[in-house]
Amino acid sequence: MKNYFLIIILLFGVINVYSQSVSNNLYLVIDQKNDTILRENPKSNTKIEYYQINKKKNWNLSLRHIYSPNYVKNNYRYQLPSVMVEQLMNNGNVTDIKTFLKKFDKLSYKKLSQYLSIHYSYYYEYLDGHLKKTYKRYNIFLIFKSDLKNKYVPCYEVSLILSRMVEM
Amino acid sequence: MKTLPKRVLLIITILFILTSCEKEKLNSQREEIGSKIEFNRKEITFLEFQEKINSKDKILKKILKNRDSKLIDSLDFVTGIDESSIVEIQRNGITTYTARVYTKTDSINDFTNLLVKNSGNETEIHFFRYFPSEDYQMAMLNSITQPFEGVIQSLDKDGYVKDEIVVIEGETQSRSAPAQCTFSFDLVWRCNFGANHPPGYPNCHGGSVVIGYNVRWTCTSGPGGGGSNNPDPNPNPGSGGSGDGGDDECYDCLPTEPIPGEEECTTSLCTLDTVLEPNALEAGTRLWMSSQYRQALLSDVLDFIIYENDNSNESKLFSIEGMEAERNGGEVDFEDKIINELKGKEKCLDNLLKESGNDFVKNMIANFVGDDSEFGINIKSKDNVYYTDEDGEISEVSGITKYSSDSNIIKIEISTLKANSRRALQVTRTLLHEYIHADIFRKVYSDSINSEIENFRKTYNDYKNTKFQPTASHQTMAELYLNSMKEALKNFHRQAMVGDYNFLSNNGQNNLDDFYEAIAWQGLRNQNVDAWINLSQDRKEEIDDAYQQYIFAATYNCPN
Repeated sequence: MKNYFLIIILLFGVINVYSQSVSNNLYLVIDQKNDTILRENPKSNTKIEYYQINKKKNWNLSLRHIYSPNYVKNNYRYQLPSVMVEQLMNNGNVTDIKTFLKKFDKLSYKKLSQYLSIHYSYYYEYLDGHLKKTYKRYNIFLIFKSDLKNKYVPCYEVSLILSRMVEM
Repeated sequence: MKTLPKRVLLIITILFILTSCEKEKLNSQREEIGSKIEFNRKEITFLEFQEKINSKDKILKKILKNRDSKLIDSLDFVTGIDESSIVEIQRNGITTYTARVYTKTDSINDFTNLLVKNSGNETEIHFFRYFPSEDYQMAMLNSITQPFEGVIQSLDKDGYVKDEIVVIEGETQSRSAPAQCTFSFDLVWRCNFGANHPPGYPNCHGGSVVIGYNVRWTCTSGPGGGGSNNPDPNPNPGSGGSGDGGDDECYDCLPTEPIPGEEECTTSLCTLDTVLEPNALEAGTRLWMSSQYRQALLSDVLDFIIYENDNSNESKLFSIEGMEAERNGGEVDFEDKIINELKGKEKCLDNLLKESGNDFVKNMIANFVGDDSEFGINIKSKDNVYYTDEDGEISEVSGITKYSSDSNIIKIEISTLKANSRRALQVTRTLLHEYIHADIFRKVYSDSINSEIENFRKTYNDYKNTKFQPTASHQTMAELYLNSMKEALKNFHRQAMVGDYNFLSNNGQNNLDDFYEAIAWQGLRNQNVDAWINLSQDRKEEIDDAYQQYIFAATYNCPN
């Protein structure tokens, strides 16, 4: 029984390490000067929010970095050495957020939902007492353009919230 | 020594004569000016305006029927009139009326006046649009009186520019638009002491103020000359193109409120301009807010933005929508962040629902009320409501709910046409359905972290991520809200529509539960939601039967 339990723990560990591997992540660069970033209120659980609205295709996409004490599903926040960020840039893991979202302009709500799920989501698995639980996370992080000059670049994982803009 | 008094006497006499001449000259100048400027200006009420104007002109008739910026017709250039700014001007036997109007093409830095001239049995109407220069705006903000500077356009009834002049220091500089009528402009001044004096007149020590415009057209005939050869099919404004150039005069008034600028504010309206982003408030709404009758609303708005919400963007957006709603006859609760622009039957039912609704309804609406609520609601009636699906197909629907991340106001639109053609319980169902959509948006986008929202999002995301045909919102509504909706309708029917309930239930002898469930399913069953598909065929038939049995006997009316 103990061995079985250890195997499960090991399996979770492998999956999580793989899913959180830096090379699998997408890093979106936002410019604090030019991009609209919401939630500057420190009391808010959502520390950073960037959104995209597509009236024509009837969807609203919100990228939120959530962090709150006593909350178990907080987004990651870590720092990468600038050398590593340069490598990620060369590998195509880092892109301007507007450029990234621009390609969704012609996607319907359904197509966008599928695209984001297929390309960037994974199920984060954890143990809640003796119960195995999962929830969906995305391999998408925000980094600020102004931080790119620093020796260590802060990266903020985001939760994606997608809905239609108009419901009948 | 004897000659000295004689000389002194001579000098005194000469001085007396000279002084007398000067006085006589001044008196004659005053009389001349007085006879030229017989100018009476008084503010009149909208009712007085209605009584004084007897015109067959279609546009004027519409304006006179619709008070205080109510929408006249979506096709009309003029969309409303500011009833607080109507002025009657009498000069040289001519009476004109001027009032600020709202138009479809208003912008933040201009304003448009309607000018009505009664001459005999005929009534002429003209529109003038004023574009004050920045210097002039600054002067107004600092309460400095100076001659008008800027551009003035004469517009026709459809809003097209007929003529345009540039005015610098009160004098016409140029005329750019080709026209058969030349267009001139003079200022009419009044001394602050009350007499009619031009500026600089010696006795006008208190300074002069502009009290009106003298707007004059001189229309000539077209090429070839001759009164009968007037090329202008519609000679208004002007004298109609007499061959030798007939003259006509009208008198218009400048606004007395400051026009927005960046200087330190001394008025609430200026503060509002400073607080909001440039052009954030629609020009017509800003003009409407400038009325003295909107001072209380203006104070509420400024308190809400500055003191209660620390200049947050959300409070500004809500305020803009609130002011526009008030202008359209809606009700705004700044404290609870609720804008209500419902009308007629749907308004009556919505009020009843809020008064008599069960705990489900009250709790749901309470989530949008109060200082702690993240989201506000703007619910309004529209003649027709349309929904565009993902394939671009447009269909007319009974209601829609909208949310986008650039605002914390969830907007609900209810179709008046559909509401009027449907039974009262069906309209109540539409209101509930849209409030539930708003509640779903609230839970999806809330910043709060609690178990209720976590559980809800799990259901919502499961539908969003795995099943793409019906919307996640409708799937969730069918799974989590349907029973509550059915109970809410049942409670509402019994409490608020007693007559209809007694009639349909035969004074409580018939069980209407299946009928309420059938109504609750409207708007969901056709969306292919799993919860409906999973019902047995027998159950579906029971629900359909109950619907057919009672719906045609249910009342259309909202009980008042």
